[in-house]
Amino acid sequence: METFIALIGAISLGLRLYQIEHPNHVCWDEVHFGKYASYYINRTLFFDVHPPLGKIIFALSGYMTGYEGDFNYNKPGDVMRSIQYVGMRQVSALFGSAVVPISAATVWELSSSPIATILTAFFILSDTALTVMSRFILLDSILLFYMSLSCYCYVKHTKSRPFSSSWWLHLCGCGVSLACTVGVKFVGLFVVALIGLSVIGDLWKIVGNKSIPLEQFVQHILARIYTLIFIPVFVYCSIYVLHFIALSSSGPGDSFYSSVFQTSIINNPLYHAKMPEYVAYGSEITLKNYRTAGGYLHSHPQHYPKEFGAHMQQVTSYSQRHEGNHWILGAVSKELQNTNEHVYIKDGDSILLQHKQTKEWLYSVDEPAPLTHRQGQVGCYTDTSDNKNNMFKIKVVHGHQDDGRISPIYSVFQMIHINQNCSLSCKGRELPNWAPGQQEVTCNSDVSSQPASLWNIEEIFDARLPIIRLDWKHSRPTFFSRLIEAHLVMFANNQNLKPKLEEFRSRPWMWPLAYKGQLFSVEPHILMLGNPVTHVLILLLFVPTSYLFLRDMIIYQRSKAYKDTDKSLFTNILKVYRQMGWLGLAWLLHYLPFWPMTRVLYPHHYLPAYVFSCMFTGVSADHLLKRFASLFKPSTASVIQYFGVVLLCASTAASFYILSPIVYGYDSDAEDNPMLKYQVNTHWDF
Amino acid sequence: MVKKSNSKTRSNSSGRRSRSRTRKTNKYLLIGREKSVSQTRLISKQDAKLNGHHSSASTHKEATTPVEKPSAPEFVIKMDLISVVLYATALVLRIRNIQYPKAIVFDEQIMGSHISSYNRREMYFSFDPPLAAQFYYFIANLCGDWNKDFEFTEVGKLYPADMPYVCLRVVTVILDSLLTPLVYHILKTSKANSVSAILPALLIATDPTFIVQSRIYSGDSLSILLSLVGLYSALNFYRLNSPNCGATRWVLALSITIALSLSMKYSAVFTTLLSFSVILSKFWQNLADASYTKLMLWRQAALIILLPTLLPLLVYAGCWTVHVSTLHNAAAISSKSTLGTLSSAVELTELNVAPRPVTNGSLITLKHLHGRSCWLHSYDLMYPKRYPDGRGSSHQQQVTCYPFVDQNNRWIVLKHFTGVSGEDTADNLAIKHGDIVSLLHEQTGRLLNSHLVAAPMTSTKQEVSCYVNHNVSMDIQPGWMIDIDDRSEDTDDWLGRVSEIKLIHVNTSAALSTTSKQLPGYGADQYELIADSFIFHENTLWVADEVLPPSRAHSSQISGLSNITLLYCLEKIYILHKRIFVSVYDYSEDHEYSSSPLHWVTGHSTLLYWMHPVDNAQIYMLPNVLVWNISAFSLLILLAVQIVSNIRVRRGITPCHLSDTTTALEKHVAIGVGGYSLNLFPYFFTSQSPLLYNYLPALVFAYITFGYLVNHVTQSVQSSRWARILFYMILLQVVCTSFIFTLWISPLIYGSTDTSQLVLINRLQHLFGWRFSLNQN
Repeated sequence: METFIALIGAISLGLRLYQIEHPNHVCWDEVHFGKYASYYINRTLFFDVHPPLGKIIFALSGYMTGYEGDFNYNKPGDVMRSIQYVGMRQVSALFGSAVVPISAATVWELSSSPIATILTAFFILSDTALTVMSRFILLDSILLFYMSLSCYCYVKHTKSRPFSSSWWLHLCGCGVSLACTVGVKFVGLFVVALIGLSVIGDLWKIVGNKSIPLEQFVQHILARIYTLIFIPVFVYCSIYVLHFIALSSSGPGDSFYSSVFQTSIINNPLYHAKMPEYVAYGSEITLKNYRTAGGYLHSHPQHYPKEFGAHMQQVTSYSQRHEGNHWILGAVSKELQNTNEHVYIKDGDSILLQHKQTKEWLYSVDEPAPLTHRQGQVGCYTDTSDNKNNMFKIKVVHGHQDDGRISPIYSVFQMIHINQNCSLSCKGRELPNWAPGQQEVTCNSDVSSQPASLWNIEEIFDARLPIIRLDWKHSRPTFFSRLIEAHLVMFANNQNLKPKLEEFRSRPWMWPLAYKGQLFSVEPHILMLGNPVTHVLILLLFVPTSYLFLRDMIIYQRSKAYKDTDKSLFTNILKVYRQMGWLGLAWLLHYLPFWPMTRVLYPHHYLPAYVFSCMFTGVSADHLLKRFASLFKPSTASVIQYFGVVLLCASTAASFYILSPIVYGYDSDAEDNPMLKYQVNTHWDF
Repeated sequence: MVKKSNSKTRSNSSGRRSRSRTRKTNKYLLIGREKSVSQTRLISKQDAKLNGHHSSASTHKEATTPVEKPSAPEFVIKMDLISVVLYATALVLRIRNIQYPKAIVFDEQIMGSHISSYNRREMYFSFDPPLAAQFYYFIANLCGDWNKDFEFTEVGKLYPADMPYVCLRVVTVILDSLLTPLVYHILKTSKANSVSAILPALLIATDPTFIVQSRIYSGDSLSILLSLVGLYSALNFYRLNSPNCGATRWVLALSITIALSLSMKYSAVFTTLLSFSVILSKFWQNLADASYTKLMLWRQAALIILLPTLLPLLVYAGCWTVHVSTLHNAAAISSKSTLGTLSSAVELTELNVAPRPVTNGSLITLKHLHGRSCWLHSYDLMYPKRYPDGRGSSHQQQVTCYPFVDQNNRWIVLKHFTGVSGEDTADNLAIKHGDIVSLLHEQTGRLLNSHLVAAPMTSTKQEVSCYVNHNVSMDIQPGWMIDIDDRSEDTDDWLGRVSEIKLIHVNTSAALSTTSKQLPGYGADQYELIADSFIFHENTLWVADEVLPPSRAHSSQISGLSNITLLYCLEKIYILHKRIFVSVYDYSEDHEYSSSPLHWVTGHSTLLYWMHPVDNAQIYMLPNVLVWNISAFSLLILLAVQIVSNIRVRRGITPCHLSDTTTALEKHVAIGVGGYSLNLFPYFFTSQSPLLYNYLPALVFAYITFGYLVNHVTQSVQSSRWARILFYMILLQVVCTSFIFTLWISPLIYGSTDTSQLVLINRLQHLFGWRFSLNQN
C-alpha cells in the first residue's frame, strides 16, 4: 500500500507541475497573494483578512527562487514575463500534491482497507478544482496540506500505543499542523473543532475503560492539553512574531490599525511618536476613532443630499490618510482666539473644530442622521454665530495627564456636543453612493463611553510646539496587544466582506453539485470547476449508504428487543460506521458553517469539505461493495468487487482526462471550442 | 390490582368534581377552564387505559415499569386549580390598561399594515408566512370596522377613533396567557413535581418581557404558544407506555400545532425540531421493546413520519395559496415605506407577475434580457467632449446600462400617433408591435436619442444619448420602433415582464444594445450603451421590467384585468419564497435596536416598544436581570450535573443499570438545554439583526430548565427537613423578586404617564446600565 500511496503522490505532483509556468499572467486571486508576497519581501506593512503563514511561505519561496518583490500585481491578466513567479507556483503545487497521498494514507490508517484507500486517492486525484487551486499562488493548497496532515497525525496517534514514541510524535505533529492550518486561514478552525471533538470522544472512551486507573487518565488529559493546546498556541504566536518582524516598516496597511499600534511601525509618521507632547489651541490635528479599525474624522466640499436634514457639508469617517482629515482646534473665548501664545487644551474644555481644507466649522444639529435616524446629524457649516451648535466639550476617558492636558495618540476622549448633549460617534455604517467608501458620523444622545464614540488625536502639526519622542513616557505596544489588535481588525474586516450586488453569488448548495466554477483566466481559458463526475458519484453513492446505515441501525436497535440475538454480528459493521461517522462529521464541520455566513463566498470554500467527502465516499463505497458482493458466491464476490473498483477509478480518471483542458487552459474563442460538447450545465462557462 | 382499580374510579370521580368546580369560576377564565377540563378528561381517560392495560398484561411478564401515575385524587383537583390560578395571574397582569396607548406599538406596525393590506387585497412582502396576518385579519373584521386607509407609517402614530385595535390586543392576551398553565403542564408531563412545575409558570406569568410581548398583536407570541403546545403533545406521546390509540391523538395534536405555528413564524421551527426528536426517540425506544410487534412498529413509523410532515405541509401551502389568491392588487408605491425597513421597492414590483400592458404614458424600466442584467439608465452628466483616446463625442447626456435598481432607470413611454390622435380608448393607448415611441427620461426630462456618432468605447457602433440641444446642427432623432420579438398570434400588445422587444431607431435602423465594456471615470464604471446596426443579435433584446400605468388611478383596473390563474399563484409563491430565503442575505442592515444574542442571556439589552411623542411615557421590553441570570445559570448547573452523573455511570461508580432519576435527568437536560440551545444559537449566525424578543422562546426553555433543576434539588434535599424549608424559602424569594421587579418597573411595561418615570429610568440606567432614549425637553 505504501508503494501505491507514493505512486499516487508522484502522479499528483506531475499533474500539478505540468506546464506550471503557463499562463504567464496574473490569474484571479494571485493578484492578492502575489502582492502580499511582494510586501513581505519589501517588508512593508499591509492588511489582509487572512493570518500570515501562507503568505510568509509564498514570500519565502519567492525570495529563495529569486523573486525580488518588484512586481506590483495590479490586476488579473497582467503579464509577468520577466519576473520569477514560477517558484511560488511550484511551492503551491508541492503543498497541493501532498494532499492526495496524505489523505489516502489517512484512510489507509483508519480503515486498513486497500479498496477504500484506492478509491479515496482516485477521487481526490481526479478533482479538477483541487488541481487548479494548487497550480497558482493561492493559500488553499497550503491550507489543505496542513489540514490533511493534522488529520493524518490524529488518526495515526489513535492507532499507536498510548505514551509510545510514535504516539507522542503524532500528537505533537497534530498540534503543530493544527496551528499551521489556522495560521493560513481561519477556516482551519473547523479542523480544530473536529480534532477537539474527537479528543473528547477518546477521553470518554478512556473514562469508560475501567482497567485504566484514574492517575493515568489524568496523564492522558495533561498530554493532550500540552500537545493540542500549548504547542499550537506557541506555534501560532511564533508565526505572528515572524509576521511582525518581517513587516516592520510602513506600508498601505497602516491606517487599519490604531494610533498606538502605528508607533511601532518604522517610517510611519507616528513611529516612536515624535510629536508635540500636548495639544494646544490652534493646532492642526487628525482625529481617529477609537473603535477597532476606526477611521479618521473627515470632511469634503460636497454637501449632504437634500433629503437628509440640514443641507450641511458632509462629515464622514474615512479610513485612509488624507488632506481632508485635517482639522484645526479653535477656542471658544475671544481672548484665546486672538492670542499668539500657545495655550494647551485641558480635559473639560470647550472647543471648536475647523476643517482645514474648506475652513468650515464642525456642527451638529437636531436633525436625524442620514442612516441612523435616532441620532443627530453632524456636518460642517460656515456660520460661527454664537448659537453654540459648533461647541464640543472634551471629556477624557483615559490617558490624560495629571494637569488635564491632552496628549496625542495616548489620550482617548469623547467630544460632547454642548447644545444637544450628544457624543460625536461613528458606528461604522457605510454611506451610500453619495459618499462612497466612507462611514457615517453621528451625534449619539447616549453619552456613555463606548468605543464608537471615543476618539484620539493621531497627529499634530503645530510649528509653535516643541517636538519630543512620546513613546518613552508611555508604554509601547507589547507583542500580545499587537497580536490581539491584528485579530480584532481582521475579524471586523472579515465581517464586512459583503457580496456586491452585481456579482454572481456562490451559495453553499451549489458546491456539492459542481454547479458553477470560478474563472481563473480568460486567455487561455482556465476554470476552477469541481469534477462533475466525482461530485455526482459522491452524491449518488451517498443514497445507498444512508439507506444501508438506517436499515442496519434499525435492525441493531430491534435486536435489543430479543435477548437471544447474537450482537457480535454487528461489531464489524459498527466499526465501519464509526469510521464513516468520523469522516462524515469532518465533512459536515467543513461544510455546514458556510450556510449561515453572510460574507462573500466562493466555490473554493468547499475544497476542505470536498477532501473529506472523498475520504468518506472511499470508505462507504468500499463498505457498499463488500455488502453487495456478499450477496453472491465468494468466487463471484471478489470479481464484483474488482469490477466495481476498476469502474469507479476508470470513470473518475477518464473524466479528469476529458476535463483536463479547463485545468491547463485552452482557447475558448476558437470556432470549434472542444469543450462545448461536454457543457451539460450552462453555468459552467466553457 | 384492587388498589389500582380503586384509584381509577377515584380519579374519574375527581375529574367530574373538578369540572363542576371550575364551572363556577369567573367568566373571564373561560378558555382556561375549557382547557383544564379537557386536560382532566384526557388524563383520566389515559389512566383508565393504563390501568386496564396493566390488569390485562399482568399475566405475562411486563418488562416496563409502570409510570408514576398522576392518579392520586387530590392531585387532579389541585392541577385544575393551579392551572386556573396561573392563568388568572397571567391574565390580570397582561390585560391591565390594555387600551393604552392608543397608538401603534412596535411590531403592531407591521402586523397592522398587513391587516390593512388584506383589507385592500394588496400584495405585500414579509419575511414570515401569512397565517398570523390572516388570523388577525379575521379577528379584526369580527371585532369591528378596520380602517383600511389608515397608514401604518411609524411606531407611535395614533389610531383613528374607530380602529378595533383593543379587540386584537385582548384576543392576543387571552390566548397568550395560556402559556403559563401550558408550561406548568409541560413540566408535569415530564415528571417534575408540582412545586418545580409551578415555579417556571409563575416566573413566566410575571416576567416583564412576556407581559410586554403579549400585549401587542404581532403574531410572535402566538407562534411560541403553539409550538409549545406541540412540545406538550410530543411529551405526552413520549409518556405513553404501551401501544394504544392515545398515540394517534397526540401525534395529531402535534401535527396541527406544528402546522399552525410554522405557518405563522418560521422561528417556530426550532421548538418543532425538539418535538420531533422527542417523538423519534420514543420510537427508537419502542424498537428495542419486544412487546411491540413488527406491524405495530410499521404503523407507528408511518404515523409519526407522515402525519407531522404532511399536515403542516398542507396547511402551509394552503395559507400561502389563500394569501396570493386573495391579494391580487398591486401595492401602492406610497405605502412601500410602511412595510418595515427590510422591504424595498423591487420586491413589490416583482410580485406583480401578471403581465401588464405598456400604454402611452406608462412609466417603465427597461431591463437587458440576455447577458448582463442591467437597466437602461441615464443621469445628468454629459459625454466628455473628447474621449481619452482623442475621439470627439456629441457631448450630450450619457445613457448607460446600470446593474442596480435606481430612480434613474425610469422612462416614460410616449407613443407617436400617426395622423390624428383619436380618443383615449384602451386600444388607442396600447402600444403594439410596429408602433413608434419616444422614451422620456423621468428624472432629467430628456428624450432618448441616437445618431451617427461613435459610441464612447466601441467606435464601430452608434452612440446613444439623451438629447441636449447644443445648437450644433444636430437634430433630435427620438423615434424608436417597438419590435416585439416573441409576439403571439392573438395579440401584438407590448406587455410588461413578458414581451421581449427590440427598440429600433427609426432614423438609422440600429437597435438599442449594450456592450460589456465599462465606461471609465466620467461614466462611473457603468456599462456602455450603443445602437447596433446588426439588429439580430440577442443583445438587442429588452424587456419592460417594471411597468407603472400612466396614473395610479388606473392601477386597480389594470391589475383586475389580468386574470390570475393557478400558475400565477404558484409562480407568486415561488417568487415570494425566493425573496424570503435568498434575499435574506441581501439585507444585513442593522436594525436600530438590534442587540447581540450574547447580551440577551445576561439581560443587558432592552427594546423600545413605544414612546409618547411629547412626554417620557414609554413602553420598554426590559429583562428581569436577576431571574434571567438565575435561569441561564441553572442551564449550566443542570448540564454539569448531567455530565458528572454520566461520568459516574461510565466509570462504574453509579450502578450501570440506569436508575429512574438518571433517566429523568437525562430527559430533562435534553428538553431544557436542547430547547434552549436550539432557540438561541441560530441567532448568532443570522444576517438579519436579531431583536430582544427573539430570545423569548429560548427564555421559556431557560425557565423550564430552572424548574427541572428545582425538581432535582428538591429530590436531593428531601431527607433533611430544614434544608427543604430553606430551599423553599429561596424559591419563594425568587418568585417574589420577579413579581416585585415587575411591579416596580410597571410604568415602563404599561406605558403610563407618571411623574416618577424619570426617577425610575435614572435608577434603572444606573443599576443595570441599560440605555434609554428620552425626549429632549
